[in-house]
Amino acid sequence: MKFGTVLFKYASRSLTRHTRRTAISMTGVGVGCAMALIALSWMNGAFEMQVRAVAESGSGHLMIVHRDWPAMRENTLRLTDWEETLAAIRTTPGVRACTARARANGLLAFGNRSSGVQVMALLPEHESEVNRVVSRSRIEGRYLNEEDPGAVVIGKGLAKRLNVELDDDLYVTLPGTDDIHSAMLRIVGVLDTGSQDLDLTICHMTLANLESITGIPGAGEITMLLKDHNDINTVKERLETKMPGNNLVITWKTVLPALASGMQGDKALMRLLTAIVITVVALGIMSAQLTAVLERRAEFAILSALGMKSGQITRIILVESLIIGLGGALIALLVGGSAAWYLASTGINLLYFNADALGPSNILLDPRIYGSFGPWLIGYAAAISITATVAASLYPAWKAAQIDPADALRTQ
Amino acid sequence: MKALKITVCLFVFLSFLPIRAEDAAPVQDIPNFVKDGVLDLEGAIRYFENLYRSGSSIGEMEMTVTRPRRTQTMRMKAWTEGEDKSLIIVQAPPRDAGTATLKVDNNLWNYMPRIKRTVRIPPSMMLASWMGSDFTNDDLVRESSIIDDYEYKVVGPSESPKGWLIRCVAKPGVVGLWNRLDLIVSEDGTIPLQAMYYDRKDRLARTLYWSDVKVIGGRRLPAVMKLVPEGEEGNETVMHYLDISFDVTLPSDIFSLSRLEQAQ
Amino acid sequence: MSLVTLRMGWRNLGRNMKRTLLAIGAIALGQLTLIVVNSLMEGFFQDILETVTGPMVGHIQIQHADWHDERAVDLYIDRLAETRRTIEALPGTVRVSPRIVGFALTASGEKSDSPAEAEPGVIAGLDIEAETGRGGLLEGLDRSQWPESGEVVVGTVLATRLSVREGQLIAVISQDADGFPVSELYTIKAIVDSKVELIKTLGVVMPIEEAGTLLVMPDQAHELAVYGYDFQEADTLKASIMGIPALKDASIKTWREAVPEIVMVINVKKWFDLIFLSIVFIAAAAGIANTAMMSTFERKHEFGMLLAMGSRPRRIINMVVIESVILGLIGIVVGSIIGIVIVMILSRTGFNYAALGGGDADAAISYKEISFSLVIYPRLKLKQVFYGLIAVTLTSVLASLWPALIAARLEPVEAMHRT
Repeated sequence: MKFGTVLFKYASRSLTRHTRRTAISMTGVGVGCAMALIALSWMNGAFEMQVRAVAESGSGHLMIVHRDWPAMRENTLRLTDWEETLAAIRTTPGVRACTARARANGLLAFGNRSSGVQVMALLPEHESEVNRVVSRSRIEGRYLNEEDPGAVVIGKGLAKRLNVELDDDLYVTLPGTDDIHSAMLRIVGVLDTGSQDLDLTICHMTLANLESITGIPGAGEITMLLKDHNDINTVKERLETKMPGNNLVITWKTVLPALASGMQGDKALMRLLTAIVITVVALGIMSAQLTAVLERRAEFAILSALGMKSGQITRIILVESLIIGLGGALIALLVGGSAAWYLASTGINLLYFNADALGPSNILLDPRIYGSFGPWLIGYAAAISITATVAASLYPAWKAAQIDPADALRTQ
Repeated sequence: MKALKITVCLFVFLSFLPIRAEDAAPVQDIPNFVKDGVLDLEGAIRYFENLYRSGSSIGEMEMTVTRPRRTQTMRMKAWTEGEDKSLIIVQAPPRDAGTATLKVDNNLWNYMPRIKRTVRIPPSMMLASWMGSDFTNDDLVRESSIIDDYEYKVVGPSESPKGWLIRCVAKPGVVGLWNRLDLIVSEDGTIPLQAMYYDRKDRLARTLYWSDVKVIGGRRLPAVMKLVPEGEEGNETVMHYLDISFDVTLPSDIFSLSRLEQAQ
Repeated sequence: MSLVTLRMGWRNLGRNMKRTLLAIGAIALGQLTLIVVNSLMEGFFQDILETVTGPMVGHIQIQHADWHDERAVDLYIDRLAETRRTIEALPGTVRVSPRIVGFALTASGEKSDSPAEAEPGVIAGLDIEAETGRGGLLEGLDRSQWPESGEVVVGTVLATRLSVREGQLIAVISQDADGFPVSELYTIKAIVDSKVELIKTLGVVMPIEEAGTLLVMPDQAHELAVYGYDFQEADTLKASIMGIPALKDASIKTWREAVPEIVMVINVKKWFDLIFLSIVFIAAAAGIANTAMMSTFERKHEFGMLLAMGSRPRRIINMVVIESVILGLIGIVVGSIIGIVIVMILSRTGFNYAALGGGDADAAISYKEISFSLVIYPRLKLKQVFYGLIAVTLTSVLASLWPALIAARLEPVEAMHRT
């Protein structure tokens, strides 16, 4: 302990003796780490936003589907005991909201006009908790009620294509098990999602309504949002134990594999770049520390001649670097933290670039991306800065310990 | 009640629907539904609905489809049984000969000799054109009856063409594309002359014209029927009945997929 | 600046090899990162732009005014041959690619006992020779697989759904331009995985003459994709096409107008990557500046010695700057060489963005009917190397100038006094 105090004192003295060098080193590490922090804040924020947007655009964090669905994507498949399953999911810890749906490929017609469409049959109250297409869109008229036989809500684009308005009666044709069924549906609401493409695909009715038209009972999928998307695997495992019959738990990544890999790729590339940035910074530190060591050859030679062990000399250098690392972390927090705070509070408006709110694969994106800001910044700043600095100082420290006193003093 | 069902548009394909023998209208005594200058609405509508009906039938017809760039005529033969089954096979021109449509209940299959394949019409194609005409696949399968599905009343005498104007308004809850059907029947109430179809917003969507009254298969009925869709300049479909035999005995397996593919 | 100064600078670098190597390493790594990341970005955006302006819309897209809303088979550009010749005669036109598009039902044409389950498909009648060229819908399709009369190329997804293979028959049922039913059997020449989602999932591709015969459109087409010399010049070309009287009622759009959403997406992504790249650059600059400053400050007493020996301060500044420049140049050369080698390797193997994150290696992002591959083939542009050169040199010169100025202003004795 006594040596530790001496060590620390000695290290800080040699750092304060070379104020400028110390300051430059700290700034170098600090700026590098700050950049890494900004990148991470941005990346985490954008990632969170995308996961949220994807999950809330219909696919949820987790989905229960028929076990053949991933391969066949056939929307006539139905879940086993969907009501019981839905009730069981609702009480599963970690689940924020969930709902059940069924889909059917049908035809909407009015007079001489018609349009093929994928009908989504759902539980209206729960759907709006899970699906931002419902909760965030402007609606003319109203959305579906729990008991709403014969009612349909369609997208604005679809209404335009069919040349219909609120309160018009659409003629719908849907496939049954072995035949074709038709029905009249009253348009009670017209949804305007803000995306023309998405508007063309929306046709919602209640699940009970679809069941009564087609005669095929049941739901084809259960979608749920979690309280925290990081729990996705835990909740998935929890659910898998209570799935009856043909029901299968899948994540949104199974539904939208390309989007998932794209996002993972973004994340990985950001990490790779951050690592390169830190390496470049570390090389600078190594150069500085090496200079500091070589410059003080005589000093270390004397210390060594006075009986200081090489291990202790190594530690002096490492403590020096630790202090630089801490200083760097502080600068990083100051610079990177305030930038992250700006990103987190003000965000960047996507609408500035893209008037259509639709993203890839029919995802309704948030209009603004917010960076992530939180206590994690402190941990990351300290970890990156100190690790980089200490790692960069290992070689100089080892070098310092190798100094042969006699040789060093002679050449000096 | 089922026996009374008829597809309004199916006058084209005639007698897809069954009929009780006593409802048939034999040619011998032509009724007159006008008494004291007033049209017997119930009588006229019932007569109209049963005009082409039969428990089974074999018919031959010629369909001419006119498009802005060209016109095409097809000769075809049709077999029907009850309200649920029918088979139509194209006989000429040679290019299209053998093309066939089979209807069983709500399902439709098309056989195309060029590809030697039978294809079931998916729901998404139900409102697509049937054989290139202005009729849709849905017209073939959709069953509707004025008596069951519409509230009807006589509006009064019609000037052009001369006859009686009957307004039929879809009853609430009836499944169908049309909100209103204006039917004009001849002055004695026995021959349909014209029908105007209005969509659910009450916009005129298409008009059907009957003409050329003849005795065919022992019944007096219009032999020519012309469908003109609204808003499609230069498009019309004319169906000309050449011959019909009502209440015939049909081979038991005629309404099957295998017959669909063999029959030429 | 004398040769001596240059030699001194050079020798100084050799004197402390380790430090020099570290500095070169930092600079090289910075330059390498800039080159590789820039090339990846360039490759990704170029790929998207070329997909968009190539197979998808061309530089200019000409259609019937109502085509976009209705996509009905009778909404065509009439008198194709004549119109095409007129457009081709325009000075800016390289080629004109007419296309016929028709919605169809498809089924396997192979014999079976049960009726076929029809799947929706899209007939695409194309100029096969043009579309197999760079940027075409069938880019890279081997000449032996070109569909000829009576043959078609089918998208992978549709082929899977119909369970048909190469060499088998496919039945196509559609309506001709007058609305009359048509049906035909075709031999499947090849099954293709197109970048255009529509072709991949629904496409039945055939020569335009074949589609013209099937749909009775001998001298008509639904779409004319016009290619100029450079897609950035589309506006000029559009202006001259709009002057053609036969097309006065048609919809004429540049690729930017035809797919504004994609243009937007590219802009957003470009912007974000630019931000990130500047972050990388600032961090790299900090590292380089750190090294440069450190090595200059450290030699203060050496400069004092030189001053005492009568060197003019200016000479010392020159020497330091030259050192930095040499260091920077070596770093850039090393970084550029390694960077270029990496880019060259990646441009051959492709950089799998999806696999980087542990995702499905075959994944692609689809947006507005185009799927973008996540395998990126980086493209090297010399200007990137040049930018790095300028930026790195500037950074190291500026970073060493400050300590050098301080050193040069010192009194020799003070400078020699080691602190």
